[in-house]
Amino acid sequence: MSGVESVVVDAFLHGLLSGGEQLVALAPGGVWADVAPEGTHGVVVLVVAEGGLTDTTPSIGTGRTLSQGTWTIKAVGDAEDTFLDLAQVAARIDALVQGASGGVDLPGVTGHVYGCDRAGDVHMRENGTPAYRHLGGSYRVTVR
Amino acid sequence: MIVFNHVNAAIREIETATSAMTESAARGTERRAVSLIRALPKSGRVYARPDAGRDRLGRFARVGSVVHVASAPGQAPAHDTGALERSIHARHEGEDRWVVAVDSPIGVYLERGTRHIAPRPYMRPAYDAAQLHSREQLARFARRLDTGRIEGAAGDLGGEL
Repeated sequence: MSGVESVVVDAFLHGLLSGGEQLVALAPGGVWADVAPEGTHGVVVLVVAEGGLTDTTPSIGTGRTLSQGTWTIKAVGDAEDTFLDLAQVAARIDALVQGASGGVDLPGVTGHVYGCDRAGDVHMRENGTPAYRHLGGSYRVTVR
Repeated sequence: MIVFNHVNAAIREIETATSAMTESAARGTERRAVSLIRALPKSGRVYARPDAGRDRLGRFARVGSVVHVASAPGQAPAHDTGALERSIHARHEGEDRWVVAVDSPIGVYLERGTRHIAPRPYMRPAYDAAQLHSREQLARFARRLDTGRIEGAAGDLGGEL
């Protein structure tokens, strides 16, 4: 398990998704980590780390070379939204994230995301009332 | 002239190794997921059990825990009744195809989260650990083939995760 690299990925993904004008228009509920706050209305985009990072290459000196982890990025609808409603949002998420790379340089958080590769899709309907739908993908993210 | 006289033996070992590693990865994922759920400490909310300490007839008979310490967001789910752990199964579906399934209806919500409940991933970390273990096994197997010790090379595989 690595330390700050996961924060680099979180910051990178939030910047990427929040900066996508089309996505912001399609998901008026906003981009959130893990859960949508109570009272949030409309389609939301949730960014969820699926577990710890794995160091994929040997360290050089004191520095880790590359780490990988999986993040779920999904559109979650409001009560009345169908999978069809969410399809456009999920497609926009994939257009932004698949193959994305770039640096993060924030106070205390510096790093580089080398790539995001879709590892599978996420298609889920909550078994409750309301039965919120989730549509998106799991992405394998390589970071240093 | 170069003569490759161990090709058939190598192919047999590779086939055996593939089979052993697939099974090992599936069973390893199952075991790891269960151990993540049972691992302590968990640091989420503490719930009092309203009916803890009573048996099935409602008689007072202190059994089990009076409180349940839930998992915090990001941690694997906390052990509760054991139903979630019991519902995790590695299943052989023919040839070299294995599936690790969680039959509990709440399993997917814990792993992926819901709109208002943060995820408690336990299958992905288990799968990642099993994958890492398989990679190490594969490297060991390849080294053994590379040094010409072909017979029985696959027998070393399939160890505990």
